[in-house]
Amino acid sequence: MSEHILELNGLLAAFPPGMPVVFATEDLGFRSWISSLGLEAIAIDELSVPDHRSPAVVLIPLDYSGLPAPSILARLLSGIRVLWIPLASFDSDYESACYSLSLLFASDLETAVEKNRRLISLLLTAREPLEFEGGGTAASVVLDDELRVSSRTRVVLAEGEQTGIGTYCEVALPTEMTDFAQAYEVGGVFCVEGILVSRHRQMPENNCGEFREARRVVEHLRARLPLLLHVEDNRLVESESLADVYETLRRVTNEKYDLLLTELAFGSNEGIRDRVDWRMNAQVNEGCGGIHLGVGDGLTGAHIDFVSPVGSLRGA
Amino acid sequence: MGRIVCVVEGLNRRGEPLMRILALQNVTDLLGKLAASNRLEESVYAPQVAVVSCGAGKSSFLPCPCIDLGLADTNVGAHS
Repeated sequence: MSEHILELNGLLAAFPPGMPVVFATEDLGFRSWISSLGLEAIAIDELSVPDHRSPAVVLIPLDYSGLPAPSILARLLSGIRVLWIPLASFDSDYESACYSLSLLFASDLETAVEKNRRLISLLLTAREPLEFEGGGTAASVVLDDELRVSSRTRVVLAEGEQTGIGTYCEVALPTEMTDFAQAYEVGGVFCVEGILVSRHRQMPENNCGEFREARRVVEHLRARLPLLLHVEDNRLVESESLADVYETLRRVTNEKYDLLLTELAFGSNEGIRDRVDWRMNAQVNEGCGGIHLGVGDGLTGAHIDFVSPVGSLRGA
Repeated sequence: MGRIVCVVEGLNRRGEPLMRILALQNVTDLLGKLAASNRLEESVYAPQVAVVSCGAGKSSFLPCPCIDLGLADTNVGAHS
């Protein structure tokens, strides 16, 4: 326990020094664990209680059905600094929640943001295709002249600002949904050491069957890691590693996308890499460095991330 | 013309994407275009760097649970 307490400064770097921070989550057992670390933990609905009003909140939903409606939530969180840790999109049982938070406590957000800035600078200035290599991965990325990325270049949240923990730990290039066009072109072979499956908060109930099936497929694939993943023209293509699950992967991630990449991201939270447990379906794992590729949007089907943590971008 | 990178860092108090725009060129013209349809919240730091908030809380990104706060009313969440 004391080990975690000593490492707390990493996560709390998202807030101004000395500012009281409240952890809000709905599970009593998880709150007790957080409290045992010497931190203040409250239920999410207690955010509306004036005595619990805090200028800084780490919001950790474990089950989206327990969250207030977006309009109410927006009012509750208005004007305060909020760091979201969306465990509900991944695995959120007690063990998984404690694992994720422990690794986040051990994270150095300042160093991760410095890495983000270096990666973004590289994206900004690259004139040639970026080469990503190492650990069995050999791939190239061609970039458009206009890029939109999700990431953080500042460590401390401003007053009234909200963000997700993922922005600290990666530089992500999501796909534009207007025309499914990507601002990048990826091709090559990726040595995948970790796989994660997740869903969006607003995934309709009638897509949950595909999500459950996606979980089973991912469990099946985890048992045979590492995998060699082949990507051509921004699309996962059939290969020996995926031969028996390729059609299932297509279906559970919305076959309309046909395994087109919906995310290309570079991890920046490298300090935790040696502590990552790839058996855990935890968002914190994907940011531990290297590159990860996502298929599916989490709404119309599952979102699956394939993490290749060892290689690096040339020049990054 | 050099590359332009728009970094979505989070949401501001109105739930709008808070972005940093980086460019290898002077961004004045770009900001002028943004101003025509969006609100610019913060000042330009340097000719090549601006921090702005754009739009009405909507993003055209595909929703992704890893980077989507899910706070928007529509299926298309604003990204963090």
